[in-house]
Amino acid sequence: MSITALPIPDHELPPAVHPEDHVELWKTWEPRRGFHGWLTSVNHKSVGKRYIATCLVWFLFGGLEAGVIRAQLSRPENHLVGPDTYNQIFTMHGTTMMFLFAVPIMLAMGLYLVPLMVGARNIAYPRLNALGYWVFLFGGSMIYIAFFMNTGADAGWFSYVPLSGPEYSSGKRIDFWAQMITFTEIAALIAAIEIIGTVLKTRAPGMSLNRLPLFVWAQLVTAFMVIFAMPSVATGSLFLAMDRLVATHFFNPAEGGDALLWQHLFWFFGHPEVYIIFIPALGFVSQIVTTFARRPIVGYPVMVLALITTGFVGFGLWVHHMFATTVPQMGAGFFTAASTLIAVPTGVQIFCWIATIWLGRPVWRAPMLFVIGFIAIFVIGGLTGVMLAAVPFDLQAHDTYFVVAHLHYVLIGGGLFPLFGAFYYWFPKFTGRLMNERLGKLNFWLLFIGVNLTFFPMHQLGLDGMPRRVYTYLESSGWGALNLTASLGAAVIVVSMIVFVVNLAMSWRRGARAGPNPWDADTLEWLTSSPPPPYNFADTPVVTSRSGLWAYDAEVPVVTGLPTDIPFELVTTVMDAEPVLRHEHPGPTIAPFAMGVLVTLMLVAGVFTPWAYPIGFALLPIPWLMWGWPRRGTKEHEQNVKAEWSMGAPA
Amino acid sequence: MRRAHSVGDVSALPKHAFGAAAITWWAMWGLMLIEGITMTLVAASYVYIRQNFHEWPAAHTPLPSLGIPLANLAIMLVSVAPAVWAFRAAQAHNAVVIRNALWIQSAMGVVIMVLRYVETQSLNVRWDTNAYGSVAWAVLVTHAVVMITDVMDSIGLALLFTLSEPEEKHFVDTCENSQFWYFIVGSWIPQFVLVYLYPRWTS
Repeated sequence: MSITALPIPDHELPPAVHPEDHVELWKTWEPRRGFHGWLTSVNHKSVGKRYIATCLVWFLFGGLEAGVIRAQLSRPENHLVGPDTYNQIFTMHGTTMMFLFAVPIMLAMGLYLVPLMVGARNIAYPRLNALGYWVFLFGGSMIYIAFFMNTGADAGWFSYVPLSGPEYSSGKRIDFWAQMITFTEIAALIAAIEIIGTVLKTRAPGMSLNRLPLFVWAQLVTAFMVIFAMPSVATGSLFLAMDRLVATHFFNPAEGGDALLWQHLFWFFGHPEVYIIFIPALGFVSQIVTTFARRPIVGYPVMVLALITTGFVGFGLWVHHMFATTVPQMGAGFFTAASTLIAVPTGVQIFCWIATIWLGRPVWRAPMLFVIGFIAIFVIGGLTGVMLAAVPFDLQAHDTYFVVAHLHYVLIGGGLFPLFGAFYYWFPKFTGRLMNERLGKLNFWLLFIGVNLTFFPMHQLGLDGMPRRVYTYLESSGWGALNLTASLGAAVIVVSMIVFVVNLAMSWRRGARAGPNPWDADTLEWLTSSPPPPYNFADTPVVTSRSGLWAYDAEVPVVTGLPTDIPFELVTTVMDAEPVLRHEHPGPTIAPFAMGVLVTLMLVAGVFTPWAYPIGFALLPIPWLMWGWPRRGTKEHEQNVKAEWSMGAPA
Repeated sequence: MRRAHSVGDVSALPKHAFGAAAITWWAMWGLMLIEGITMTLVAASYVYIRQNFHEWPAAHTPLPSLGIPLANLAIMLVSVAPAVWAFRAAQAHNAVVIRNALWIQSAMGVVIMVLRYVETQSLNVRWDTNAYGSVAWAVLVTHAVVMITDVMDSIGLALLFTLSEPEEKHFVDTCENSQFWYFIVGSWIPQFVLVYLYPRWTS
């Protein structure tokens, strides 16, 4: 095979000192074909794309549930759905959007983009990464299969006890919810380890930490937050599952348990979760602003410190979700202060972005519009957040639609708008084609108008006293007009999503060819082809400046010497990214899929019987050995074995 | 294709390294962090639930017995020796010593797991008696689950060094397996104090 026979035109391939290396690299890294190849792939781009696509399917489901909620509430005393179905739908909506869409899609974008942005050939632990995806897919599928069988969770997305406990929620609805938590936590923790390993150990030479792109910084901070936050909800959901399955009493006050323990465990995860969604979004915004303002970001060190500060302070806020409980006043005062304090690093970043746009030569393409939408909507959500941080106000607004308005402004403004900007920005890298600009702008304006029309009236509804989670309301309440407005707004959001899907489908097939770097951006993913070859980079690029590609002359500096006949990548030092090792990557295998299936069988059976766990653990060694057992006769094995080791001779 | 020029050749770099230079070392620390945080949260729940009781253990609940738990703690501490042995042999690339050390470590791991089951009986309370019983069991079981993973890893590596030709990376794996075992033993000591000694101080 010659270089011209490769699926990517040779002028778009990533730089190589010896262009003919592309041919052997392609053979070495090329994924297996067919269904078996699909099941065994461990390439971060394949896994990342599947992750993103799966999240978008759950987003569609969550959106449809939101549509039903708004249709039901569009007029007083409506009976489109009954209270039981409504309980399941709003619970599934919140659960889906938080656990199956917002958190995982932010991590999934990182799983695809971070290795490319740091100049690596693959993610740090490719097989583990594949396992994370399978567990995520199976966990989401499990809770939706349960939902379609009228066993959907119905105690709200934070499943407060005692409502979710065995006394008030019989049947298996909550058990599936608790188990879904276990699935998604495993997946998120795996993604976090992947990102930490990739960022700290596989950066291109020269990419010292003070030259790390801000999106990568954001992913790194998020990954550490995931590691500190997720075990909390995993512990809580396990306690809940055990209370329901084997009659433990963690949350049963009659036997010394404590309902507030659930709230602490949940919110110690739940509040940082907001930042787990929001911080990657800040990273999207920083990359988009840099590219479209045509200049380096203003205040890079301050931006990094703001991300890290947000990561720390994000763990000091959780009790503000519990102001309506019996927390001591002194403690509440501390959490009020922390909740107000966290606005500072975010404010600093907003000023830095505005300064960058002000000092740059902004180009108003679709991704940039979503950034502006983000700033406008998120600032409103942030301000109502500061209001809710005050205990007296929170006690009045608690559990009302004011909170619903606030959280949607924060999450849609702070998460969804940057995410859509990121889709428009990186779609060319994923697919090789640009999205349609006019449809993109239409998508933005419809979403911007729709979101404000839907959620702004909810502030007033909350102040008028409309509680969350009621399936209907009386006409005499006077809430009808504002609810109808909100429902019309939701219809506008639906239209904007249809525009997005149409744009996606059309651009995928017929969009303009992007080439490696359609935006003339500065980060390393734009150095390689669109979409990238299976090995991302032929020779590892050397980073000479924080400005990345903008600092390169006509010739790109690279390091050579990685083998091309076996999948290898360069390992570098944590701080200064100096090369220290050549690391061999594991190849494709069915083991992560097999382990994912076994874990799924164990956890689903664990909804019904505790014996699932000992049996499951007893079977785990089978996929475990498939995963790591050396394959004799392969080139990889022969090169890594020395005869004297087998005989036990000391080196 | 943009032109490239080489500013360095990495072909002389090693393919494997022990410690923080290795990519897998960071995954191991990530796992230890996750599991350490989880065990800390379970321990924190133990202390939180303690606040709901005038007496600890709960009224009419006997103190946990100390015999088997102490014996198991002693075996765990001794089990660090074969782990150290395997660690040093791995750094010296001595496959025979590694194999022997791993089998001893695995056998001790199995004994510790069996004794952990017996330990649950030493708590003298069922998980469904009251919240004290629930959370005391939770401490034991959470640590046991973490322990199972490393015992399985030790057995897998022992099999590999017995039945197959080890590759360079398996020496690195052996070192990391030993380090994980140190974590498991080390993390049990404060939990042992919490579950078995703390009730004696406060009862």
